[in-house]
Amino acid sequence: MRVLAGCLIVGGALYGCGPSLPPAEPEFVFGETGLGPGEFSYPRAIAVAPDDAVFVVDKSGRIQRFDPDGNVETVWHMPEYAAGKPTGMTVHPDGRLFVADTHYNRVLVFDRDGEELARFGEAGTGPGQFMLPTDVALDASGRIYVSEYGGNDRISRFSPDFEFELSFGGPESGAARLTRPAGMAFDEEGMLWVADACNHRLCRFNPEGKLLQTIGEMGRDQGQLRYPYDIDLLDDGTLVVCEYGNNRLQWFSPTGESLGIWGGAGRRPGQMAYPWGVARNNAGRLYVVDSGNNRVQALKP
Amino acid sequence: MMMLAWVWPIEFEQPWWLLAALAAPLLVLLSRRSLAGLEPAQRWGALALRSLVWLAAVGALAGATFLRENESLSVLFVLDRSRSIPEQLLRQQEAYIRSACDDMPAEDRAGVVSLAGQANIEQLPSRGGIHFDQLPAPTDPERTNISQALKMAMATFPEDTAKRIVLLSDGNENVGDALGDAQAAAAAGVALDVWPMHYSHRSEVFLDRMAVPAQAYQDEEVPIRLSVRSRQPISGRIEFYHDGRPVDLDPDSAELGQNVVLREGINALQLRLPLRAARAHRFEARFLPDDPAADSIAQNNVATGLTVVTGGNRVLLVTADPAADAALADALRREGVEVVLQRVEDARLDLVELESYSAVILANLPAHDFADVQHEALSTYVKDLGGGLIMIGGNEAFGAGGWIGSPVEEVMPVAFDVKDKKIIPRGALVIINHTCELPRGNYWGEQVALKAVDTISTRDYIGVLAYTWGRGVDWEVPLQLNTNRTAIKNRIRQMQIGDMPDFAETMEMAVKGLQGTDAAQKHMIIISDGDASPPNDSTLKAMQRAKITCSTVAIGYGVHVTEFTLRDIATKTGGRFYACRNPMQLPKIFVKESKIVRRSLIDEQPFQPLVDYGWSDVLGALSTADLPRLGGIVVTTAKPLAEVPLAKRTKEGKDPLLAYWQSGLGRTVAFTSGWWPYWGQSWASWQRFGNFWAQIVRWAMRQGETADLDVTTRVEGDRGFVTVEAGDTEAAFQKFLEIGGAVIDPEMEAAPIRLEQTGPGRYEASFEVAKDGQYLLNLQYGAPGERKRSLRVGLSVPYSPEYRELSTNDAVLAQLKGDNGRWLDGDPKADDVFAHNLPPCVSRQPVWEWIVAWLVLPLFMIDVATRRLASSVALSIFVELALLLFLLFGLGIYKGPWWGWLGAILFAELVGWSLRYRAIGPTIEFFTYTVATLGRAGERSGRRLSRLRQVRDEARQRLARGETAMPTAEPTTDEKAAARRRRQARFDVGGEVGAGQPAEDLTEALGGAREAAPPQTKPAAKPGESAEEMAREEKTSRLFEAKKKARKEIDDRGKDGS
Repeated sequence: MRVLAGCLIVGGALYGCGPSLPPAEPEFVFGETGLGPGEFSYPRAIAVAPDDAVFVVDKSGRIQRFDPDGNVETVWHMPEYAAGKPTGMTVHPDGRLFVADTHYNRVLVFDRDGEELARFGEAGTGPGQFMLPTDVALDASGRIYVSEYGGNDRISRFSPDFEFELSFGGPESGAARLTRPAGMAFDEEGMLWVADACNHRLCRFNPEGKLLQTIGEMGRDQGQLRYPYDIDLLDDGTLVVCEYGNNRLQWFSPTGESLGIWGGAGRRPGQMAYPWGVARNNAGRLYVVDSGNNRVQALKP
Repeated sequence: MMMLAWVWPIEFEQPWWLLAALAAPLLVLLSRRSLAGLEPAQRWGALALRSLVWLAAVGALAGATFLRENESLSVLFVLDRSRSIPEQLLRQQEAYIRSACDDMPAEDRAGVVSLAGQANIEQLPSRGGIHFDQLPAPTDPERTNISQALKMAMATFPEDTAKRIVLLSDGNENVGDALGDAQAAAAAGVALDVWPMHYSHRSEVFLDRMAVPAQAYQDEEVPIRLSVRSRQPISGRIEFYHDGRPVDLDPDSAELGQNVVLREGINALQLRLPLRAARAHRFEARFLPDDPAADSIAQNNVATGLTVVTGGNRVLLVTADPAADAALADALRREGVEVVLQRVEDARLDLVELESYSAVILANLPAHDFADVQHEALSTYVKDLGGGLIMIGGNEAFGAGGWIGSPVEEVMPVAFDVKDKKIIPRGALVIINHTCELPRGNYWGEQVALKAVDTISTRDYIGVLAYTWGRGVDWEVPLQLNTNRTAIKNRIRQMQIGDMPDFAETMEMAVKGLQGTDAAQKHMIIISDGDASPPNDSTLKAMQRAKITCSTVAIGYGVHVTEFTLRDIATKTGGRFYACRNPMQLPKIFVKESKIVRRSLIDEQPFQPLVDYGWSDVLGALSTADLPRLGGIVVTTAKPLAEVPLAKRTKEGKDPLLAYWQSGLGRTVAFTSGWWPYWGQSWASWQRFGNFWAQIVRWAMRQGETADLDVTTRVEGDRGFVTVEAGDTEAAFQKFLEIGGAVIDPEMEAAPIRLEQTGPGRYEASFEVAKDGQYLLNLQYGAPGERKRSLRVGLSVPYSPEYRELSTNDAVLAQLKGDNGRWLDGDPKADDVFAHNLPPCVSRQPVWEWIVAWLVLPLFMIDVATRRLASSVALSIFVELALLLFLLFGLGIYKGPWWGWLGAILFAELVGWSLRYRAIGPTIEFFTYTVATLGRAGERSGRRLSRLRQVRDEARQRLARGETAMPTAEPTTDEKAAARRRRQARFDVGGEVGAGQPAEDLTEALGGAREAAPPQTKPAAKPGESAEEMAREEKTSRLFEAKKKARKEIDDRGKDGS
């Protein structure tokens, strides 16, 4: 009996403190349906600041800043949002928030309190122009990468001063052709991981746009993907992918081996409906935007 | 159990089950005997546990429910935004709700519902105040439907809060009855506070009434009386229009109108007009004040009237191509039929307009050229007003024109669908539904799909694809034959429409589905805001190869829409692109698109019409040879009671060419060919062409009737009144007539009406006129038992009832407020609508599952363990673990902070140790004994090893000396005895040596040969000694004996000197 008890305790402890996969239940959930502070109307993008503040934008056109425990701190509206709302955000190491203002075909830059600092981009198919930008990523040298779809389906690189430098992944890119790149993140080696949503795969590019690696294929099984909408990386290089089509998170090793999944379609904590985004904080806690349930689920590191 | 309910917020749904708890003592009594073999502590523990299991089971059966109180409050503001509320009060409303929400408690929620003809949710209940910048324009402000708004508010409240509705209204409801909803809200514990929107228009003129005869004879000069009500003297001009043309009221003046000075109160004006044509005549009067500021509401300065002149037999020929149908119109005119030829774009075709004609001919016109309300009007015109309807075929008519399922098909003598003819090629339609970005997107997605199901034939395939969060892209309606419309519609009504990431997967699925059918026409319709990713080129090329067309409908203008993807798909697949800016257009677009799959209903093989009857009531004697050939036909199916004098012979039988029947009060005719420039060239030049059609039209048209009654209609408030003065030819009153029929409102809804005799020869009735527009009354009258005659009269409601309300209706508001609500005075601070003075919301959560999972099962297991596990230590560990699991997961402590965990563990340990306090001594002994035994065992094993070495050495020496005998390393007698005792103890049930206590000898664990030993009788306990004492003594003596033997053996070997 003692042996059994010991096994139970040790097993339980190991289960709770697993190094890579969080438990089936989220650590906590924040947000509910509504338009008030801390409430959401179909949240679609999330970003975590270096100080672990969490930014969430929803389809009411509001960006809300939360503390790491999900307590709302600040709310502001996008300057215009009647035509559509943002679908991607990222935070610069200096704290500036870059927002892909999808339906206005531009990128807006805010400080942490919502004051607009800069904007760049315009509608079009030419170099430096956007058609429905989806996400923003920043490399170690501060260069800005903007993904877009709506026919352009490419990633454009800009200097830290918003000057266009190059683009890649567009319709003429052969195997590197992207279809609705929806989320981006950099790894430790400075390579860009892209959630290539409608090709149901993850792509790894060097900063010049050369395709280095792809992971995944369309499907519902572990190791397969359906509409990956966002991606983030853990300290050990593990990829965390938010799958809109499978209503789950999936972990991949950098070599493409699936390490596990979390979630599934549903309304209860630990389940999701139309998840759009995922982001991690310094402690390794993951925040997943459970859009159809109007909430954010926080997962234990 | 009831005590539990006092201590904790628990209630029982079926409390009579609690009586079963009384059986617990009985259970205890019965169990005492069966548990008699246990120790007292274990026995009592088992009894307690068993009782607990019983009580928990009783609690579960009684439906134990947790009650949870929530102190937060949700306030829903219901804002009356109908036309009767002056602009200034609308602004005050908005300021009020913003101010009221300024300091609302953080945990409370505020929501906003707009109240007009259609209620809208402007803000879901949300924390933190009002979150919209500006309220959008209300839907249908011409009406006030408080009932619907209250229903919507009730449906919008969150469940777990106290609820308050704050109604800001003038109480002038003109649709529905809100009193029932207010009472339902009160019954549900929802407070309904009211701020009456007080106003009174002091400077106001309105045209109260226009009195015109409802019916007149041709060329009769009818009197028209106007009643104008004013609240102060005012000067201005009256203008009058007859069928939209101005009437010169003052020939001496250069202007058409008449200048008047109105006095305070009612002003009467009168004029007379001759009515020449036999049709419906519309009149309109307007008052224009010289000083517009002197009149508060301009919308009510108009009055309308309607007089139906009977007599005459005009026929309306509606066509999309007047040049093509001019031949028919001319031929009819030559036969003496009065024909009005109109382009379909110019035809008004409301019920009043239709009423002006005896028959209507639709020449090769598709269904989508008419609004839904016009379909209804055509049907009503035939069934209820006795009009004639003739449909002539062509490439856009009947089923090929999308008329399947329309109200017009109902009244026609042929069914537009073809069910039994296998040679007719099938069509297939797939709808890709991505309407989620549109306001009320699911509703519109559902409506268009329903429309398509109604429009296409039962021989066609239909399927609906959408993206849902649970299943991704999937068939919401699997592609199937449209035979079971009811089942397909039910599936459509259950659709979930999500945000589709791309068209690629969806269109591939659609193409695969369409290619799997035997349809000749394969068509796809995408309805979307266009922001999904485009399909692959390979998919589009596959569509081109398979001749699958795809039309696209862009929706969501005003929100956002991405057109280019949708345009591109339509262009590349030969479909059409629609930029739909008004969702109301959507059904019409789908009717138009759906008929693409119905092109197969057109048979363009030239044929000789077959005369099926030698004699026709309509056409007289006919022979096949008389008739010219026709170049095509729209395939239909004759209805069972229809007459079909002409047909086309086919391999399967006959397709109707000419069919007619009586439908309700009217008659309808279907001629399924036509299209004179293409199919019917030889008909148009046929010499009997005019005669043929004149016979048909004369049969179908309604014959004019002259009524011998005076009928007047009028509007008062929200009711219309009809009065009949019945006199016979000798000016005597006609008594006890039966007069009844139907009132057809502006939306073609028919309601029965029956007139009651209110005086000699005077009959009256009233009816609701909630909608503005033209009302038609189709009345049948006559003495009981006699043939009834028909009478049609009209009534015009010029403007919304909203403009007739000149003050607030406090009486209605007081009723709505009831006893529980409060009057608010419009001061947000004083009103304090977020006051927490309502009873807190109590939410109920059934806990029987929880009881079963966390009480009954664990307790039952513990009960079993108590009896089966013969050790209080083991039992205590079991209890401890179960308690810990219960605390952590049953009570949810695991979600809490670390000190919750610590507390739970400590508490479980405390209970565990308190249970096994009697076994603490043996446990400590167990540890010490284990350590000591292990030490001794190690020592003994070392000795055994050295002895074996000695034996080995001795054997070698003997071998060296030539000896063969070899001593065997056998267990000593003491070891054998110990093993015997151990085996004996293992089967000594109820004894002190069992699970949880160490074996007495670890030799077994360390190895060593054994041999079976005969059982040894256990020494009997001496009187006065307890079993434990005896066991201890025995153990000690055994240890002593073993020690002695070991020592002796070592000494013996030492003496041997080997």
